[in-house]
Amino acid sequence: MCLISFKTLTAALRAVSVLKSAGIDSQAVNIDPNLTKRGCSYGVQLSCYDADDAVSVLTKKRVQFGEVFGK
Amino acid sequence: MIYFDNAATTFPKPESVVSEVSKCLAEYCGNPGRGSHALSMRASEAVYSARESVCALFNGYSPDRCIFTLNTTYALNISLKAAVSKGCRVLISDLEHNSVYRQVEKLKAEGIADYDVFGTYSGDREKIINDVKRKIKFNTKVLICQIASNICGVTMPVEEIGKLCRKNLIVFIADAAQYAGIREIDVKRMNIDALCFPAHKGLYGPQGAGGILLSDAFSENAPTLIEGGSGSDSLNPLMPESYPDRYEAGTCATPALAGLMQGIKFVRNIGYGNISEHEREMTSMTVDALLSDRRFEVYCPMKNCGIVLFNVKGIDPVSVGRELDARGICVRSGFHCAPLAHRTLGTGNSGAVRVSFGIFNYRDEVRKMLDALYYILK
Repeated sequence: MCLISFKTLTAALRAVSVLKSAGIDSQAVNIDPNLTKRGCSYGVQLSCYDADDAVSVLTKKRVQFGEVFGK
Repeated sequence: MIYFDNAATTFPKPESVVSEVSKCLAEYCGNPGRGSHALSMRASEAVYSARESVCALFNGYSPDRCIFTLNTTYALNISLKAAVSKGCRVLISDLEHNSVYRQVEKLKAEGIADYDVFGTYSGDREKIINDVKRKIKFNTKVLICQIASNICGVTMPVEEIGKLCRKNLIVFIADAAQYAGIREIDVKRMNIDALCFPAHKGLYGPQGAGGILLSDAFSENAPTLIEGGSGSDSLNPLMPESYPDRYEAGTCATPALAGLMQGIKFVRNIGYGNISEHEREMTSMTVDALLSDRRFEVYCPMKNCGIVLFNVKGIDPVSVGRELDARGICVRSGFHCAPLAHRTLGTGNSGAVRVSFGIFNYRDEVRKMLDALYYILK
């Protein structure tokens, strides 16, 4: 599984909604605070097969995201 | 009981709202954004759905620019305090509620920002716009006003005001407490930078929630009103820069927001046109009856809204309210937290009686209230 980090849970949930509209299944999750060094953090978990498409969709829809883990 | 105090809060609430609040409390009321377990995530999803609903209803910029607050007053405080800077001027209308008036008075007393007041001229749109133009000064940075008055039928020419604000690089904060859910609001078309709204009035949601839809006129380091846990960026000693977390310290009112979402569905199902027409019918009936009898004085007698403000000549408004209450009719008497507006309408000394309608009121109820008023006059 791959993980894309977001600054807020709202941003992660928005990403899930945007990705769903684009036919990509994903799930908002809490992520290990050590990954971001920012304390409580959120991400979107999805198949690594969809990760590139997801990044493309999020960029196009102007949903700000952080790092992509697991690629 | 006949309830004519819908401008204070709508009552009753739709059954769908009541059942969703109950369902939330019974089934999914975890703390949103405060954990990785299933219940927290389900509550978070409910809150996010409410953001999407609000954003879609008002054509907002993005769900993450939808900030949830306790009520409209908090929303107006967050917005204004984020937008002002030392030495600037704020422009308000002469019908403002204390949620704006007390803020600008405090900003003035603290030497942070002075303010100017534009006239509303019983709703004459051309005169309002001309006065707004006259009152904009070189250092006017914020214009904050109600879209619709909370004591009479005056509505603002929002689109024209928005255009003026955009042209003059002024942040436009709109108080939609009496307008949201009654008529269409499009924050992009109207150039509104901060739309402040309640859940519990025209959107038929529960009390305990309100919100702001922000444009990008508010930067990521705009001042905060309240600091605390946001559920994100928790190692940062300062509030996070990202929206909505920057302005959402502390646990939000998940059951109220779940109810708000159902309230929005209720409003959408009925439609703005039907809601405003229904309220206009009640208002028209009341205004016509009161204007035809010299024993009443009606202020700004407009029929295109759900509010009628009047006095019974020779009887103080609180006594009128009490007499109506004794007959099972709920209205609101006094100053309605809007002394500035009452001064503008000439009721600054005594206040007045406000009758405000909602979708659950009927013509028979208006007839009963009029009969009760005639009886009081005997």
